[in-house]
Amino acid sequence: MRHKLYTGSFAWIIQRVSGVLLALFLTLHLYFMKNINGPLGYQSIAGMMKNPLIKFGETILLMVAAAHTLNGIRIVLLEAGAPTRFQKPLFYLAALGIVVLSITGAYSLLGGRI
Amino acid sequence: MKGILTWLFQRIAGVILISGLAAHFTVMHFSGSGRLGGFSAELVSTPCFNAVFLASAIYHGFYGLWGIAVEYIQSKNLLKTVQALLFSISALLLTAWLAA
Amino acid sequence: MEQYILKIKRFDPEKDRKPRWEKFRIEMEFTDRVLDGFIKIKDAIDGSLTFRRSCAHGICGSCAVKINGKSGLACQTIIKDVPPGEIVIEPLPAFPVIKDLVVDIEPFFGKNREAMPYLINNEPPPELERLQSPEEQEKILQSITCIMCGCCASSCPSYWADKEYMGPSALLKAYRFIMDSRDRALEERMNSIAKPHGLWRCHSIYNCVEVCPKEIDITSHIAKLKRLAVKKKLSGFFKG
Ligand code: SF4
Ligand code: SF4
Ligand code: FES
Repeated sequence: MRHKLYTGSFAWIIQRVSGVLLALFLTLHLYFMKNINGPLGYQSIAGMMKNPLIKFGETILLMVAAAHTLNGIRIVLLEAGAPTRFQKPLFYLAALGIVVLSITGAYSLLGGRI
Repeated sequence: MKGILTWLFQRIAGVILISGLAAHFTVMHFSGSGRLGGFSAELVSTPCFNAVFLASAIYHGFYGLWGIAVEYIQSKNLLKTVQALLFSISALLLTAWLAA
Repeated sequence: MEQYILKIKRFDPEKDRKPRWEKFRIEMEFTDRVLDGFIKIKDAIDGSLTFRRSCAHGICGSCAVKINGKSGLACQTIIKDVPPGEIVIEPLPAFPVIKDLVVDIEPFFGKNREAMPYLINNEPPPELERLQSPEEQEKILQSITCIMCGCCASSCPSYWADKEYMGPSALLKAYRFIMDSRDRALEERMNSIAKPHGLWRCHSIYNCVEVCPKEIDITSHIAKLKRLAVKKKLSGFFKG
């Protein structure tokens, strides 16, 4: 039987996975952006950005970044001295924030207006 | 005492990224729509902002991977190799972008 | 008396190549403790069942096992507090198994030794004793109550992954002496914990706090040590 996972473990797993994804994205992003030169390259990128698949990818990216950010703020607060009795409420708050940011972000990225 | 400043910088870089990312996202995605004031667009495109933002992002990402490597890789040799790799990739990315 | 099923993960190094599960049906009072179940099995059903216990009152820390997926003391877990049905018992995770529920705690104790778990003070001792005020004691009161059971370390995801990580109880032990008003080895103690497999492997996951049978707020103690390390480093800069 696996050891029980508690709220803090979930927060940590989310932080790990989103962190690795973001690091991967950052590396690829920096690598490819460096290799586009001139207006032609830029145009092809600009065209690519309109691709629905890319739009979808961007939405996922936003969600992952939101999760990592809000969870990260939670950890910084806790390590800066926020008492342990706040660790779970802070996670619920972060989770709420992630959902809200994801929905509004997805809405605006996928063409809606807010 | 080891690892104190690198750990502290991870938090500081994180906080820099939160503010920077908000600006980066807004400018990149909404600047065309005319909903953004000129000031933030200008700020985001200054070389200084870019350099700090870029350095923080690379540091934060690679310190994170570094820590994961320390935790999960048991073989000392493999760990050294992976760490050297992480260090070179981050250094390459940073210099390539700062040199431009 | 009611029927309970204890499903125990067993391993006999002389017979088994890998661990096997065995179920025991026993009669227990709902006020009994999981440890009473072990004793009943050993006395009446299978004398070869191997487990550790000495005090049977939550003081010695020797009966820690994994109960229904959670590290805890067998002598402090009352039957009525675990969900009805099968009770799943395993040896502590992340510790090498010797036999059945007995694990090798030597690596764990070794990590506690890394934290120098003894008072260091080279000043000549006073006539009677080194005094400590109640306020000074208050600062380390929680950390003193640790019984070295290993529940915290065995439930910490960092400890599972990193074989060299000191783990929560060793860091707590460091705290206990760093904050002790009578101790004089701050420098050495900080060196022993501010290292790659020390403080920085704690990611404030709070699993240790969830399982600690003495209800010690371990993570906040570790966080305090992190802040102290930063403070010490930065003040060192300003002094030159
Ligand atoms: S801190 Fe708690 S869980 Fe860890 S060894 Fe001490 S008493 Fe056991
Ligand atoms: S708070 Fe730190 S020591 Fe405790 S379980 Fe989590 S990582 Fe381990
Ligand atoms: S037997 Fe001593 S703590 Fe359980």
